[in-house]
Amino acid sequence: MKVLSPLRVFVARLWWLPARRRVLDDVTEELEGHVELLVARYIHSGMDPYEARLAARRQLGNTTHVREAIYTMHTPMDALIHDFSGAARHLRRNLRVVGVAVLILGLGIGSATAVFSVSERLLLRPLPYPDSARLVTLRSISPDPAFPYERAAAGTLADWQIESTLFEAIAGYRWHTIDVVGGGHSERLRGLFVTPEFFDVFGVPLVGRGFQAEDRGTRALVLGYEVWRRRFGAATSIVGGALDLNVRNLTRVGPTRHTVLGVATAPVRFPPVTADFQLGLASVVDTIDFWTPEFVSPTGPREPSAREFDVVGKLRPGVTVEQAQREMDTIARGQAERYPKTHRDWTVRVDPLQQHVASDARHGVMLLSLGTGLLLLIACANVATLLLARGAARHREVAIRAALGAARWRIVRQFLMEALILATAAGVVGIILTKWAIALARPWLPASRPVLQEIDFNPTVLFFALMCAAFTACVIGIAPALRSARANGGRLTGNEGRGVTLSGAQTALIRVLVSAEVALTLVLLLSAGLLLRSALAASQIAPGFNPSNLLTMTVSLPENKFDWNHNAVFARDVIDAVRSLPVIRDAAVIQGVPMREGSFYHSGTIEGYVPASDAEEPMWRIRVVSPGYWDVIQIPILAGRKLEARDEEGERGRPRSIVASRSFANRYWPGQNVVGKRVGVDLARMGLSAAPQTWWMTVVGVAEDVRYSGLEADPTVDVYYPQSLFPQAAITLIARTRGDPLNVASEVRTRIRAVDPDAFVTDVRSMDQLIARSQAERRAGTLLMGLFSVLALVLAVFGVYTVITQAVVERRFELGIRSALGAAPRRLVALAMRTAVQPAIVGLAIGVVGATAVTRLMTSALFGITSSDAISWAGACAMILVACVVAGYVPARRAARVDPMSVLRAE
Amino acid sequence: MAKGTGPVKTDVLQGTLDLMVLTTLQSMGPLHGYGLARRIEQISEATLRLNDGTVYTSLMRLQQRGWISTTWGTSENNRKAKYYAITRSGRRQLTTETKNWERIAGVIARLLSTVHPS
Repeated sequence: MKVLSPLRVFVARLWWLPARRRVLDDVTEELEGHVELLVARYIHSGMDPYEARLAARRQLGNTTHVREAIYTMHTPMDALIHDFSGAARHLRRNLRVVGVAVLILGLGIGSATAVFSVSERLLLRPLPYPDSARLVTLRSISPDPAFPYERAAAGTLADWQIESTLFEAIAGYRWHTIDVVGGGHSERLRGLFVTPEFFDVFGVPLVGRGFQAEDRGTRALVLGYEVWRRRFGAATSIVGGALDLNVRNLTRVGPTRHTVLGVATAPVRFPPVTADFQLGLASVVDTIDFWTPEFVSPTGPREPSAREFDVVGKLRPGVTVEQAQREMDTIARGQAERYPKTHRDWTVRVDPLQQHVASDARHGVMLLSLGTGLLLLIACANVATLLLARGAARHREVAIRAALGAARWRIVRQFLMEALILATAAGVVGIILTKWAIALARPWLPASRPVLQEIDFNPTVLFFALMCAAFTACVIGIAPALRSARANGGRLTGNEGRGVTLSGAQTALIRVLVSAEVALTLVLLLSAGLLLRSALAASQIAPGFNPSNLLTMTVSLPENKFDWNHNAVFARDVIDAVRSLPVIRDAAVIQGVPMREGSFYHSGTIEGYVPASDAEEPMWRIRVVSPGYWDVIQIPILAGRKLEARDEEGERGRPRSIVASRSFANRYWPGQNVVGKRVGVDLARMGLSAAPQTWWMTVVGVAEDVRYSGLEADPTVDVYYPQSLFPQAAITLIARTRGDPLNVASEVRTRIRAVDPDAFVTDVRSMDQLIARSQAERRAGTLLMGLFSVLALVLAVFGVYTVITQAVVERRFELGIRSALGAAPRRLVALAMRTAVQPAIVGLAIGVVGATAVTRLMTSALFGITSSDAISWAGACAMILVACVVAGYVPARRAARVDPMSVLRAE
Repeated sequence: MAKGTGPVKTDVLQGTLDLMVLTTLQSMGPLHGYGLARRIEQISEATLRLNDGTVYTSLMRLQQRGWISTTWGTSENNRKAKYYAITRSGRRQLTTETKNWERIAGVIARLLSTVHPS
C-alpha cells in the first residue's frame, strides 16, 4: 500500500463521470446529514430553528469548496486502483485456480498467436516493393485444364501494353541465369529477362539507367545489389563499363561482353510468380542478381508454346482490380477475335500480386488459424466454467456487499478486473509460448518453403496476442459478472447462504459451456482425423519408381564455356565418372527429375489424333534422359523397349526415337497399340529451322507413369527424349548408391569436378529427402492440427470433470439421503454420470452439425478421402464419448462414497 | 475553509488535520463526519477554528491513501451516514507520524532549552 499511496495521489486527471458523480452525491448527502445534526444540536442548546440553520451552515463552511476539492481529488485511476487491489487480493487467495486458468488460457492464446505469426508472414506482410498494393499479376488462362498455362507470349504481352489504359506500366519477365567464370570462383547468377517497364513497376532504385528501345540488339545488363557489393565492391565506376559473362551465344564459345547500364542500389526480391525450371523454384526470399533486356512487339509470337513471360502491372492510382479485370476482359476478347488460332477461349485474369505469395499454402494456413481459433474458444469456455463453478463460493460475498449498498456496477467492475488480470497474465504466458514456439520450430519448418524462416515475433504479432487477451477477458469476465450483477442481497438467509451451491441459471450456463466445448472439440478432432488419414493415404502412394538409396544433384556447366553440344558430352562423361565409383550401383541423368517442379513443355502434332478444337494444341512434358535412366530409377516398361545407346546418335534436336508415358498413350491413343506411332514437332519453333518444318519422332516404348509432380498430383503426360540429342544447360544426376546416398555425395562431387572444375553442383539430395520435402507441409499441418485437437480434448475432459465435481458437491445432501435410504453405490454413480453425459451428448449433436459444415471447407486439403470419411467421424465421436465417461467417472465414484451421516450433520 | 484567512491554509495544517483524524479514529473507533468534527473541536479546545467541511476533504484524502475505510450506517437522527474507521496501514502511518512528531518535538525542546537555560 505504501507504494500505491503516492501513486494514488500523484496521478493524471481524467474525466470519469459516473464514479465521480456518485462520490459527489455521497458527499452531498453526508454534508446534509451533518447540517441536520448541527441544527439539532443548536436547537437543543436553545437557538430557534432559523438561527440554528444559519449557524449550522456557517459552522459547516463553504460546501462548494469542499465539493470542488473532492471533485478534483477523485479521478478514474482511484476507482481502477481500488478495483485492481480488490481483484488482486481475491486472486491471491485462490492461486491454484488462477494458475490453472492462466495456463489454459495461455495455451489458447499462445497457439492462436503462433499460427497467426505464420499467416502474418505468408498472407499479411506487404511485398517489399514501393506501392506494392497497386501491383497485379496478369495471367493468361488456357481453356485446357491439363495444361493451365499462365504465362503470356511476347505478342500477347505487347498487345496488353499497348491497348490497356488503366495501368501505369506493364512488365514481363522470365528467369535467366548467367555464369561468371574465372578466378577460381565461378558463380551462377540468378536473374531475369525483363521488359524495360520492370524497373518502373517494381520501383528498383538505380544508379545509371534501365533499358531503353536503343538497347535492342545489344548485350546490356543491370547488376543486382548483392552481386555488385560482393563481387565488385559496390564501385559505381562499373556503370557504363563492360563485363565478360557466360551466356548462351550461338556464334562463339566463351564469355560474351556485356555493357553494364546500371546497378541497383538496394536488394530486390524476386516477384512471387517466377520459376526457374532448370535450377528449381526461386524462393521469395532470394534477391535478383541481374537484369537483361527483353523487347516485345505485337509482331511477336503468340502460340501456347511461346508463352514464357510472367506479367506484372502497376495500376494507376485509384484504379481497382475489378476495373482492370473488366478492361483486360475486353482486350482478351479482342485478341480472341483477331487471332482465333492462338487466342480463342483464352482469358486473362487480374489478381493482386500479394495473393501469390505462398498462394498454395493459403488454404492450409487458414485451416490452421480456424483450428487455433476453436482451441482458444474452448480454453475460454473451460476457464469460464471453472470460474463459474468457483463462483458459487463467492455468492455469499457478493450478496453481503450488495446488502451493504455496494453498487452493483462496482461489484461487476471488480469481476471484470479479475478477468482482465487473468487475461493479461494469460497473454504474457501466451506471448512467451509463442516466442518459444517460433524459436524451437525453426529447424522443423518445411525446407521447401524458405520464406517460413522469416517468421518472427513482431509488433503485428504482439498486437494480435493482445487482442486475443482482450477477447479472452471479455468472454471469461462476462458470465460471472452478469451473474453477480443480478445478486439479490435479500436472499442471504436462503440456500445461497450456505456458500457452495449455484443458482439454477449458473448451473445451466455451465452445462451450456461444457456442451459448447465438446462441440468445438469434436470439430477439431474430426479435422485432425481427416488430415491424418489424408497424410497416411498420401504417403502410401507409389511414386512409380524405386526411391530408396537414390542420390540426386543438379549439375551444370557454365553457360557457353563450350559449344552447346558439349553439354551432351559432359553429361556422358559425368555418368561414366560417377559410375566408376564402387559405391555407385548405377547412374543416369534427367532433365525434369521427380518430386521437384520444373520441366519443359513441347507441343506439336500427334499422328492419328485429331484435336477437339482448333485452339487446342497437343502438349506434353519433356523428360530428357540418358539411356540408363529406366534401369537406375527402376521404372517398368509396359510396351516396346527403352531408349538405348543407338538412339543417342543423330542430329541435335532431331531425335528419331522417343518413349511415351502411360498417361500420354492413354490420352492421345486410347486403347490402341502405341509402339510405332509418331509425334511431330515444328523445328522452326525450336529455333532449328528458318521455315516451319515438321520433324517426326517414333514412339519405341511406353513407360509406366511416374509421379513427377509429387505424390498427390496426377501423373504427368510425359515424353522421354534422348539426352545427347537434346543437350541441357542443367541436368539432374540420379545415382543408385550402396548405402546412404548422402554419405557418398562428396565423392561424387569430386568426380564431377574432375570432369570439369568449373562445373556447378547444387541441390544435393536423396530421393527420400525429396519425397519427404514434397510431403513436408502436409505433415506439418497434420501434426499441428493433431496437437491442437489433443489439447482441446484434454480441456474438454477437464471441463466435464469440473462439471461433475460441482454437481456432486451440490447434490451431496440428496446423495447422502439416497445412500442412507439404501441406494446401491452403482445407482449413485449412474446418477452422477448422467449429469456428465448429458452435456456431452448435446455437445456431440451440435458438434456433428458444425463439423459437417467446417469439414466441407477442408476438402481441398484432403487426399484420398472425402470429408464424410466414416472412420474419422466414428473415431472422433468415440474418443469424445470415452473421454467424457472417463472424466466423469472419478468424481462420480466419489458420489457413491458419500457418507450420509456427515452430510446430514452438516445441514 | 474560507479563502484568504491568512497563512494558516497550508499543507502543514492539512497534514495536522489528517493526523488528528487518524488519532481520533484510532482512539475512539469508527465515527461519522459529524462526530469527528465535534471530537476534534473538543481536543483542540477550539483553538483551531476549522469549518466542519474541511474534515470531509481530509477524510477523502485519507480514504484515497488507504488509511481509513468506510461503511454506511445510521446516525443518531436516523439518517444514513458514512462511518470511517482506521485501517491497518493507517495505524502504521500513525505510528510513523507520531514518531516523527516526537522526534521533532524533542529537537525543538532541546533547542528551546538552550535559549532559555533553566
